[in-house]
Amino acid sequence: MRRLGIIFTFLFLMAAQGFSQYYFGRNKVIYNNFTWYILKTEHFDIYYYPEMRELAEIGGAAAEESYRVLEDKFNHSIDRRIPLIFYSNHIHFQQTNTTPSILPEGVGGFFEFIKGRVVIPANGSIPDFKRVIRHELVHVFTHSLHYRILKDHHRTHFPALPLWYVEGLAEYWSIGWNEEAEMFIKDAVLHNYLVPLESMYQIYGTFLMYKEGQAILKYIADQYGEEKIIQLIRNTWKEESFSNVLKLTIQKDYRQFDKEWLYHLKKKYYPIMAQRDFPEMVSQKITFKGINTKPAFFRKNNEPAMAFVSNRIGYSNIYRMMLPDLQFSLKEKEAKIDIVIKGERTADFESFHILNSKIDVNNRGELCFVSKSGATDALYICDVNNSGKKKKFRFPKIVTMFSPSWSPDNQFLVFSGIDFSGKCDLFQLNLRTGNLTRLTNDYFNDRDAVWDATGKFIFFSSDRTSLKNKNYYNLFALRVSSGEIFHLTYGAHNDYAPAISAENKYLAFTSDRDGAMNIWVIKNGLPQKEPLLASRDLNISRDALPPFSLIHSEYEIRKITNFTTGAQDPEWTDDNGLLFTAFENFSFQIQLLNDVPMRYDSSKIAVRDSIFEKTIIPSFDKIVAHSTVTTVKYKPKFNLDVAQSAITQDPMFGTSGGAQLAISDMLGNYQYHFLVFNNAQTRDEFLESFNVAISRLDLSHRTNYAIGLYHFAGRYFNWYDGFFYERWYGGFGSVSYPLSTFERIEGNINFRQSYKEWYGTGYSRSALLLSNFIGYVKDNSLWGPTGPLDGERIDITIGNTTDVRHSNVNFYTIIFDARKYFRLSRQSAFAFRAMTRYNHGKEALPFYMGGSWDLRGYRRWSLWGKKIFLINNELRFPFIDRFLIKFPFGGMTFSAIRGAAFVDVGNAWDDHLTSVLGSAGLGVRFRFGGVLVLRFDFGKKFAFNDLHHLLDTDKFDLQSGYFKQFFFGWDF
Amino acid sequence: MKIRLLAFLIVFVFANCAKLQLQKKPVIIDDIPNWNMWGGNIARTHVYPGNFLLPAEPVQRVSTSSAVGKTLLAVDGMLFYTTLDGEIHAYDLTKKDEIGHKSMDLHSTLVVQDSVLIIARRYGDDTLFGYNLNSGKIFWHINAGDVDSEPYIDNDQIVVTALYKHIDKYQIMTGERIWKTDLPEHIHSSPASDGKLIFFGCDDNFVYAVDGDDGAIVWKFQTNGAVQAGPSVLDSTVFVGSTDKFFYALDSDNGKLRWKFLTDGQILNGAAVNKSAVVFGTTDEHVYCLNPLNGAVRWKFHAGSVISTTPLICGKTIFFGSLNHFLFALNVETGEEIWKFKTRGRIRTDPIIWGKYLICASEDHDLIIFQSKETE
Repeated sequence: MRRLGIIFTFLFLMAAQGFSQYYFGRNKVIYNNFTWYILKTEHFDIYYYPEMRELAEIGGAAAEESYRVLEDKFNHSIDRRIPLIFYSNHIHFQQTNTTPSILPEGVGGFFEFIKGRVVIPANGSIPDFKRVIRHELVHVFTHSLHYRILKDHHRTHFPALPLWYVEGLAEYWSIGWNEEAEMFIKDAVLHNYLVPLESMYQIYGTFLMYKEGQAILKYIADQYGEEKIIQLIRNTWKEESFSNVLKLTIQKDYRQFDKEWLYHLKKKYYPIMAQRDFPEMVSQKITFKGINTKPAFFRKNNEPAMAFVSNRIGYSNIYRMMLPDLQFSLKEKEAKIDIVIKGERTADFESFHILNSKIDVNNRGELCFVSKSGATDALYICDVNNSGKKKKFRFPKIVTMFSPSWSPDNQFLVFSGIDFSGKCDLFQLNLRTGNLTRLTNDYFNDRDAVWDATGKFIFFSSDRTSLKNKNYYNLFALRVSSGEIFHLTYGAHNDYAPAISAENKYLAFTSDRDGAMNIWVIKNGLPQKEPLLASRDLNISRDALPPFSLIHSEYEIRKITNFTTGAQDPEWTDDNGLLFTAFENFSFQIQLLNDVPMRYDSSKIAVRDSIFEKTIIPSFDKIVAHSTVTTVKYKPKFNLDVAQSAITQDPMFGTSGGAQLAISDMLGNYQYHFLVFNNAQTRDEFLESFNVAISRLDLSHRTNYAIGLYHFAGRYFNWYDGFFYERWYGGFGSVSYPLSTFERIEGNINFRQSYKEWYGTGYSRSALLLSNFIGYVKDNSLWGPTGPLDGERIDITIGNTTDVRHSNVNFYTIIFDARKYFRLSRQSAFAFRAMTRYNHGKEALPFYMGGSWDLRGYRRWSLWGKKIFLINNELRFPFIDRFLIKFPFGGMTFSAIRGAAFVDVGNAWDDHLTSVLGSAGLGVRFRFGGVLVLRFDFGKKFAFNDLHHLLDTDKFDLQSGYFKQFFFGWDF
Repeated sequence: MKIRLLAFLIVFVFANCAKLQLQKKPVIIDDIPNWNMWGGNIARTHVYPGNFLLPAEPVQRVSTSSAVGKTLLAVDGMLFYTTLDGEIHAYDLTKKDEIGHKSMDLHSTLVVQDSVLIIARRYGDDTLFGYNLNSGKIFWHINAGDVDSEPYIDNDQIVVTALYKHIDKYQIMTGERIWKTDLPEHIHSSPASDGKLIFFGCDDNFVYAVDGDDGAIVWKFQTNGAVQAGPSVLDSTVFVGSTDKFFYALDSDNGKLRWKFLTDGQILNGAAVNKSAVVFGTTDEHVYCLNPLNGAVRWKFHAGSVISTTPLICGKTIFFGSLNHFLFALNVETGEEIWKFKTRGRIRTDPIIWGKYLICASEDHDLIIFQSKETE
């Protein structure tokens, strides 16, 4: 078929979602119909919905402040108004149409180049929100300055700034240098996985690259001067590679810089080993594979066990495991684990917020946890040993929830929730009555709530401590009966995750008060002396204070771990041990500290927090209403996204050219696509060879629809029809309704006038064609480097095409394509596909088969017929983890080269299936550059030539030699 | 034959179109002061004698091939300017027409004396050129190191601070080096002189003074940030700002601190200084006017965006540009805004005055010539 026509038609139809038969993919579900407004400040257009107006004003003030700061740092200004699109929580953010991609939870915001949009979700923490605003605005300034420099010097061929620099700068100029960055770099140096600049491509786009970029820029600023950071951008017009730009700026290229920088880091961190420990050397390691977090202790048949969240197989699940003894752990093997709840495969359990939300198990073995479930999070309760029956709670005004915790009498749950306004507050659920009580209501981020042993207090971490214009997370206690809140800890440091042992004996928590996140413990006990002067000033009696309150001056906080990296989420066992998550060697694993009281008693590091004056409850600046601030209701305005043209030269059909245009509104909810090309061979044909199409997409609601008009005409060829001319024009409508992230229903109607003439036959026909299709698509697959490894994909489509005027065409279509992936290990799977495509009736169109994408061994599209069937069986396994070629002038690394063993059978026919073709063999897949998979298969073809005598060896042909097939494309 | 002659003429004409050559002797107008180097003189005072009366109207807009460079020169009715894509242009202010242009491939800056144009290139193998405006030919060229600052000419000698850690003095007619002094760090700051010593800043956070005769370091003063702005000298005082947000006044003989003033932004450009005022801008969007004797604030003005040029004092008026596209004129005594003009792009080129013309340029390829209704 005409190549250009195929490309454009395919792009057009994909853009118009006109045909659903040939693709899968998850769905971006628009659960909420937002009413958008624009808050116009001096430099920004801030898009928000009314429920989060106050948050938008806070964000507006933060954006203007960041603008001033960055204008100074960059010595540059932005000449246009900057669109900022805010969402009050991540679940709403995942519904944005400003990008077509499905946004995972790890994305905290982005800057999009085409319209220069910045899109940011809040997460309940105002300081985090401000930091992300600053981070994304650094990208805006970087992009603007770099573009200007290259344009003015007429150097537009220079490649983009390296990603480590772009993201490192955004991190460094939004966070500075904090304990999280320190933890990652320290761990990388001490465990020897720090990647030098010369090899930074190996970790392209990863979190480690972000942190290394941040560390590199901090080093350059400290050693060479902060002004050198911007000088790097300003020098890009002079050289072709960034390594040379670095050399111009600081007289060191990548290799020389690596030597100096790595040496500096080793000198800085190696001496730490004298005073600090690797977590696994001083505590018992319980888990070893994947990310494992949020341990919750319980007893099963009187034996110690824990539930936890892990993504060890790719999908996140909740697991349970019997706690092994120390001797077992020394073998560095895991005890047997069982899946309690499977996640990320069904609409009920889309995401457990693995790094953010704790789980809890009570003394009755009831597990409580939170999962994203459709438009909001839902709270679940089930038996940790038998998850069959579940109770589900959903609260319409709460979008996101975190860290539910049982009360001592198991009658209540407390959790953190983010509502539409973006506030993250504490809520209490009465399980008997179902009543929900809001315990706090402000813009402070209240998290990690737990009950004390009496049930009178709820302990939590919150950023409501303000010192020197910065917010810090300290620990607080809330009296349940009155809602009164007391400080437990206080200071310019961050304390998280309080955990209270049986009978309120000990309070454990994590704190960065000495530079790294370690576990600190307070021991309860009635004070013998009068409280400090401060408490007398506050006029509070001792009895009214919560346990562990810092106002009791005798309370000491003692450090019981001294890790090089960090610890999180401490959880008491019932024999005074602490389960916790440790970060080490770039992974999160659960470990156990035994005999905590002994460690507390022998700890030599003790501090006391004290309040010396009444704390001032901070407020967050908002952009105030003045002459430069206005609010208008959002009305879609369109501007150009893409404009591209193409010219093709075909040996058979000659030259043709065309163009494609796409426009959309600022929120990406409405799109228009225009396509025009011409394939005339002579001047006379010019008008009738004009191909044009226009389509409109509406993605603003849960139901997406597209409508369009088109005119296509030209000469075509396929092996079934031979050479023919066809002209077809008409209109279409498409609808897609997502049932969930994983499933959708699609419908399509297409009405067109078609004139077709077969060359060399003298035969032609006209038809007024009406096509109707309806389909169901499911996709919850989990992808490896070259294709899916787990889950399943299903496409069932039926339809009919008929000539409503001349009855020249009338056929129905059935498409069934089911793919299932059986996980064998972390990196291997057995993949199965069963597919049939069936057209039956007058002028039914043929399907094509053959090639690396379906029936291997046969030439691409060499088999055709109105009906096809295909069965693929493939074993997918890792082959070569890393392959490095080193040349004298440089090197190349190839990773994740995978192998396959396959058996395929199938065939195509029109009326009767008479034989079955097949192939068997081995293959290698290699992902290149992250976007292209190269495939090589070899094996033998075979054929069963008589379906009635499948076992007759006379009717069975086996290829004498081998076939070899090289192509590209993802695994099915 | 005719065809060959025609071809020759075509080649000759087009070849000469890319040339910067003064076909005629420039009209020397004695009573109009020239502006032949950045800052107007070797002390870099950024003061133009006389008075430029406002309002002024743009009488000519020249569309340039790229953003205009930092420095504009106006000598004997000719305006010299460079663009960031490596072009040098000469423009006749009275006839409002281009005289010629030359391509240097890479961005350069200029200083002119009589018929000699000194071209200092920002980057490349050879970076310092002596160009004869009458013959339209380069008559010497040397590798002086990348030059990211503005040289000056004094007594037929050129002083250049080079980016890669040295300051040099050359003969203007031969390019022969007279002396060279190495420094510890990069130099973005332009040199200034009181006739004896040469002053400049360095990225090692110091302000240096070297002897004009032999380049020996006489004194150095430490700040807390890279000194990228060019200093100004007046009445035995060196005035200079730093990226540490301080503006300093130092004794020119010994480098001792006379006073310093803290702002809220980096100081990346030079200052305009006369007997009663020292005026400079910062990245905190303000222009400050201080008493040069003691650093007391006389006034400060908020421009709404980064002050991106060195101010220019002419009579009772201060001119400067900012990144929000505005060319401002303030009263030097009070800081009151007298006039402003919105250009098409950010202004990074220092405005200058020659006679009754005020010239500025904006990033979006726009050179604007204003004419005052009268001058004093």
